[in-house]
Amino acid sequence: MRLRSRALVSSALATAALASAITTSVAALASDFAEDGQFGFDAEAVVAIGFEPGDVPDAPTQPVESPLEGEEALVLEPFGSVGVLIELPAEPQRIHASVWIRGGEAAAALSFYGADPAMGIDTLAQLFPTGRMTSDGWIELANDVRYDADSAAVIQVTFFSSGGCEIDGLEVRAMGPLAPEELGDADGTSGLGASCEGAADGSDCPVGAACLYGTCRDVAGRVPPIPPNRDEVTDYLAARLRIIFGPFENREIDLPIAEIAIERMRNATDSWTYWNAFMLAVRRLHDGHTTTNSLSDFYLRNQRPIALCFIEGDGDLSHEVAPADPSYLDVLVSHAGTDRNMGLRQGDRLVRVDGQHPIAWARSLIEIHWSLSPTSNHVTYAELAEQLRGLIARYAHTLEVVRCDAAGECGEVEVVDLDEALPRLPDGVPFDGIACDNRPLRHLEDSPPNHAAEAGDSVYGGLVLGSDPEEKIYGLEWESLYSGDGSDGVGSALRSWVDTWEEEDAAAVILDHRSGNGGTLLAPAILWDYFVERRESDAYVDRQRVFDERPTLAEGQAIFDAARSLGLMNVVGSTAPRGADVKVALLLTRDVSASDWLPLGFKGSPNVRIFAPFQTNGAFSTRYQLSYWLGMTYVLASGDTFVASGETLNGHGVEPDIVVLPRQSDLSQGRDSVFEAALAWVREPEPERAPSRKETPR
Amino acid sequence: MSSRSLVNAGLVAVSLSSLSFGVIACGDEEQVAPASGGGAPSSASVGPTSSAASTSTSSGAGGEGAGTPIRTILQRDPFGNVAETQNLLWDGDFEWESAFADQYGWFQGQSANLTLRHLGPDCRSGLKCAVLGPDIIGLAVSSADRGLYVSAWIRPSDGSCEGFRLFLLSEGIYSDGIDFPIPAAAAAPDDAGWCHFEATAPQRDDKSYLFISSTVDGEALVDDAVVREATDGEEQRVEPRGAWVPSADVIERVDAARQTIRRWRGPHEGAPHPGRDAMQRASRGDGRVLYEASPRTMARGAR
Amino acid sequence: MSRTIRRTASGRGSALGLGLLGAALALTATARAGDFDESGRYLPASGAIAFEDFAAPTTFVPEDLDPACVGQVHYVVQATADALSGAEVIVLDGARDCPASFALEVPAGDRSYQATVWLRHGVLNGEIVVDYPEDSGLQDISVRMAPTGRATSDGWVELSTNSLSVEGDLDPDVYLRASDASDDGRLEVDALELVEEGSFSLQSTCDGLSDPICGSEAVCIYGMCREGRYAVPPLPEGELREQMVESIRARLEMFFGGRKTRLEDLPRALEELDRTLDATTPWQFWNGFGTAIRRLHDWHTSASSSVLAVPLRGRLNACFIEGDADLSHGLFPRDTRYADILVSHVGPDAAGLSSGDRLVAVDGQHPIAWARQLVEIDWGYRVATDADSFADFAEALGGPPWAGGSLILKYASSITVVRCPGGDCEPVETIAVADLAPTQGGADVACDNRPSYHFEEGGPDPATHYVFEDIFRGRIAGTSQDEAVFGMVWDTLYGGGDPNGQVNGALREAVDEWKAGARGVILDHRAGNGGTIDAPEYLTQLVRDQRDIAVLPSGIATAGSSAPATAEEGIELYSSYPTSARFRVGASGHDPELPVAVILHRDGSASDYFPFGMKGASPNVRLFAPHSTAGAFSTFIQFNYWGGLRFQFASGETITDEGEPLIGQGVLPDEIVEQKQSDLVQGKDSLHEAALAWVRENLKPAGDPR
Repeated sequence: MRLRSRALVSSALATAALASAITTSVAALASDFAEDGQFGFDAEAVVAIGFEPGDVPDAPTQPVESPLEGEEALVLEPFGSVGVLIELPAEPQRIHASVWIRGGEAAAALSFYGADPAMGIDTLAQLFPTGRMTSDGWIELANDVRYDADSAAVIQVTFFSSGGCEIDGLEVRAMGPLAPEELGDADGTSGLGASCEGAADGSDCPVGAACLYGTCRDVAGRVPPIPPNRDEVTDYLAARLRIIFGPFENREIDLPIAEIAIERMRNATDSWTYWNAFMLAVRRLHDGHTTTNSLSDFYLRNQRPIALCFIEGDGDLSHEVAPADPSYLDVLVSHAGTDRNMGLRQGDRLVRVDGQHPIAWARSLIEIHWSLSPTSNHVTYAELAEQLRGLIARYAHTLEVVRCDAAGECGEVEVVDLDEALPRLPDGVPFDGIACDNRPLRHLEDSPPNHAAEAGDSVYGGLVLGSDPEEKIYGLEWESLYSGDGSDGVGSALRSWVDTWEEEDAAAVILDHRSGNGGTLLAPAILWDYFVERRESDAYVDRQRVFDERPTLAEGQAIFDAARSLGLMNVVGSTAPRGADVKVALLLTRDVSASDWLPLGFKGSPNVRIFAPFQTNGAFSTRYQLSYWLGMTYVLASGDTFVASGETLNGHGVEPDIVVLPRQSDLSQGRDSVFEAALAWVREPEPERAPSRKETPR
Repeated sequence: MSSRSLVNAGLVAVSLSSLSFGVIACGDEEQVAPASGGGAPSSASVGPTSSAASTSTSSGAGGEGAGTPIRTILQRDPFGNVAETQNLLWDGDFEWESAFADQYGWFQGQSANLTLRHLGPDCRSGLKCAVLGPDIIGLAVSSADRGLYVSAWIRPSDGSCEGFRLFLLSEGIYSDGIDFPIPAAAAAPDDAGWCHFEATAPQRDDKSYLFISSTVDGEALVDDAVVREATDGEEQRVEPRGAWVPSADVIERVDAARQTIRRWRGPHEGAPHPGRDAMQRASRGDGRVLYEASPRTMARGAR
Repeated sequence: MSRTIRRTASGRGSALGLGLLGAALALTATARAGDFDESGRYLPASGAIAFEDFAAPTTFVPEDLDPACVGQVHYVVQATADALSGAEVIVLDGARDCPASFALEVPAGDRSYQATVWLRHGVLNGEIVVDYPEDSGLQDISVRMAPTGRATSDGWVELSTNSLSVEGDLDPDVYLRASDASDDGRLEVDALELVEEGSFSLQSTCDGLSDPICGSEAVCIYGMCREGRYAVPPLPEGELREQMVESIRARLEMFFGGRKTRLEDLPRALEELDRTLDATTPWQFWNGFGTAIRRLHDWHTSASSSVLAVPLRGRLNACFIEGDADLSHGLFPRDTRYADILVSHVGPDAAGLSSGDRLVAVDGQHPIAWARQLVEIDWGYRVATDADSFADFAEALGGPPWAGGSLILKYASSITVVRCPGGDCEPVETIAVADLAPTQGGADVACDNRPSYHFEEGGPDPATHYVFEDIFRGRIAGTSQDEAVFGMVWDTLYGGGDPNGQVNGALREAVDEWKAGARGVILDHRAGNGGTIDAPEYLTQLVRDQRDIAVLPSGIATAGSSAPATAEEGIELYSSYPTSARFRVGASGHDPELPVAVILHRDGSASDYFPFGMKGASPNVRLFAPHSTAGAFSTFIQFNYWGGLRFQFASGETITDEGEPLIGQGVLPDEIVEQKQSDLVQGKDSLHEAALAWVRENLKPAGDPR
């Protein structure tokens, strides 16, 4: 038998590849060192900046000890950021950019501004460590970058350092023209910079490019090259998911799906496919805490801002012209700004995006959109509905909408071409923007009219608009539940409102937390203590052992009991709570993490009702962040929450007591269905007996 | 001090009694000679992994007649020691560490991220490593059916390996593990100035954390930490070779680490972060100063 | 005897502009072979490993010889004064199906060889076979022979292989398999020679296309690295290569395609072709050529070689189809661009898959995205001309290799599926292709994009789905006699110009019967393989009055033309063609009241013209399909070369009576219907159900026969 063993040969290849690649990575770099260790730029470099006096006038350069070359280096203070404008040949081509840093981590990127720089960055390429370094501490960052003619108008090299660092030896070397498929046709119908019709059409962009704002843009420059020891790196990263990721139900359902993308890594032949596959694997874990992001999420502005907010609901006025989808709720306009709204108004309906239901379309973007909002449960999509406008701005080509007037009359399904209806907006041009908070209306005197909170931890409260002061119906509108010590963050504001309700003898409180961003349990504890009778709720347990999978109910009960004995129990409420006789309506829509726990703590209290269209996110965990030079960041949940029944909670949000969908017929008349249902309930003179359900929320 | 810590300390003392009578007689920290047959493994067995081995000195510097070079050039794997693909630590080589993380795979002091970090050739593998001032705690998981092989490298500033205390903490819901000491393989650093700490802890179901602290002044670098399921051969060596009796100070620090671990349980989102805020400002152009490179730096060779 | 040696153009391709091809090979592959003395007598190379001058040839009977050929001898040794070597040649008698085999002795050791042989008065199908013992674990190899360009004044032409690796220690049988492709019984063969040439390469197993072990000169097919050079002619060198590339470029620029494909696809193909100028190996060059042809992105356009003629590994006896995985979107969302891929139907050895299960990924990618990337390697690549139709890829993922399928078995490392027994979907499962067991028996299922059939009686065998050239008709199951809803299931439209031929005769008979006695008709043409234009013309006579709606030139009308650029120019062109070139649909005796539902899925060429002729014919005609047809509105030209190398490309544009060019614009359905996963798991056929429901709503009034 002379068949060659694949394993043997492959491993031999891997070793050879590693050795050769290390050589190659050095050889590929033009700049190099003389035998005495002196650094020298490549004679053919198209950009060679030593940060010597006059190289970059007025830049914060200064003499440093053992500079990479010359006498001086660019010096960044902690949290410092510097941009250096450079010129590159206008012809589309591939370049190799490199720079050396010392003393601290830096995010170094090439920002290509298109023909209209006011639109912001068209293409972003980041420089990553090559592994080459010097004995005196200089570390090389580099990447191969390609650009099209349109992108090369203005090019800025940007540096940011959180801890401060020295920067020297910036070099750009031309690496030759783009390949024909990258260059595309002369008529601009293919290749980098070619026009495309949204993400659905983006698969015709060259490899390593995506259809953004209707143009094929390079995205391969956002990631490092495929590592020479790819098998080791792939196995190491794949193991991170199996070892760290904790939520049991999502491990059971979603981890196998995530690992499909790991297969793609093993077969990838280009850097974007390889690294995007890993980040896709993380997103496919399908957990509210488990996310990915990159430098581009910080640097690339939305070139097509849309002053519309979408929300899932019941398009009851328009089902004749556009039947409801069997799988997804209708998507409605929650509220709109006065311009950049495509003529849509509150209550209009978004039927399809590029031929698919808006939610189905948004879900499909998991392949390319690194900052797609995740959900732990497998049945709700509030996160995507809230994120829709940003996704549409980047990836959509046509929308199908139904417009309805205040009288409830709706037109036919109308196709809107985004390029015509909503041109890109230059940076700095003002427009009437609005924030999306899943609240079609705000109901407090000092609520921000544009729905944009002054700060992340702003808390708005007071008597509910439209109520009689004698009714003593108070409202609270806020998003954050962060408090590190019970007083910072939203802690003091929540305590202050609790005191107010007590002092004013509030009859009812409507807690409007319809965009709950989470925080810590110290914040909801302030509300639980006031309204809820003391009880043991749940126990969060960190992942204990590699390959732990979902325990049986009996094992789960044992874990719950063990957690109790170790003092790990989440006990909510207080003995004889002062607000036990106050009716509490908790309004929810898109609520994650601590904002999952908030309703969990309230669930079942006699004086409390939860009003929402569906369950919350179900992210009953915490998470850990791992970031590779800010260019590839992934966050993994690593634990799960047990209840007395032995069940685990992650993957199942808290269900509402009263299910209320925003109705198109209400929205078109400027009414807030969920709020009105809550207000009607708190006004009921004789509250019905509260449900005595103590079971696990499902 | 929690009763848990006392129990653990006791367990360690008992486990040490089988090694050397001198340990029991010694109330304060006294280094215990390696047990017979439990000597330090050969450097081959603890040396750099294949990834770390990819570190090499470039021939671009030095050389006969070239005089003393001002620097030498090295090549490292920018992803660190990935040869340990099944490392049960979240990020044993620190290569995925970021100042922007509000919860990372290593805690330091009271923080859920490193507060002291180092970048460059002084690190042992890859590009990044931790700086030991306040104690650090590495997050890991245990194995349901095998002991845990633990390895970590520390580069001291005083040339001695004796001032460091490493434990594989047991902090979980099963209460079946001890805080297992990880001793130095040798009293002195290797030629590169690194001390290797290594041991195999017995199987435990409790979650594991790698606790690393220094009892001496001066900062030290920590790098290339590994916790993995022990091989059959490694499982034979579960006694803490060359260990010590933890001092009251170390037991208190272990207890403080345990409190830090518990403090960060459960959800934590939305804490203000000056770094992230600065980055967002910079991405908007706020606070980023823009300079124009001189034409002389464009399309021309090196000076 | 004297003879002069010359370099000649060789091969039938010369008439098609490939004359340079033969000449191009002149400088290659002959360095180590024998040569001629001053008298013109051929002398083997001094270092020749084996030489057969056919005075008393050693024949060989391969184990795989067709039993019908056993004991037959199809050559004679004939003394002739102008034998190339020695005094004898062999003359093959033209029995193409029973090739003659002549043994070659090879020494022990791992070595690389090149074989040459000479022929005249015919065309030789020649290949060198290395047949290893069963227990060696190695697979037999077959290396094709092609002209080197050396020829003699008295008509001898040299054929050669590229270098081939032989593991002599395993005592393989090495032999020339020869048959007369010219069929006239005059083919003379002489001077079979084996010399050492090239570097030895070991046979290797591999795990899918991305396994680096095969390197750039081999392709991982069915889990083994296949040396590309075994299946292609030698590498043309230097100036002759440039001339050859220029020659092929000229063929394409002059004759290829219609407006869409010439403007969008031809430039990409020509860029690919230009890269072959830098090729350094036969496989680089010829696979580059094949890739250029495949990049023309046309349903009629393909290149083929013997690279796929290798042993099968494993079995995935399942057919896949595009659809809507409505049961499993909660688990795995739909792709932005591509439809979901579902299991349509299965036979034995289908990895436990059932109708309605979902194929989520191949090697981690969406199956269609994965299949599209095979353009650079798959010599069986089939793509719709319409850029938005991917049905050919879905159909080829599974099914038998003899029907052009088995892409997964050929090239993949793993597949990921979601099984949904009874509608309850299970977690995803990844299956290693290497773990798919070989056949345990039972028929291969053909893939015809029909999950099931719906005749009251008869119809295709649901166990095999073998429709092929047959035409099935009958009353639709579940309908009443009074409803009189009839259907037809067929894939061919090859009328061949004979109004009474098997296809046209059956179609005309069906039309007459339906006009006489049907109240509704369902035409199920979901695997439309095309044919000739007469067949769709006859079918349209059921539903519309006579009219000319397009012209179909037989090949491109004006060399290098991408016309028409405007509707005006199109109308002018339309009018300029003779009426014989027109697509004439309908007949005066059609039945305007009869509801006719046409079900489509993967349909090209004549199967594009058929729905084009039916669409909009009357309110009583409705097309049901998940997407547009292939848009292959043209005819094609074929080119054949030695060694099993062939290619063909589309030529000509179809122009409507309104001046619109049609190529690349598939026919869109009136009603877009996808197979639903929820239907498939219940044994329902979503497209048929939709068509039947529509027909029932629109039944022709009873008692109104025509």
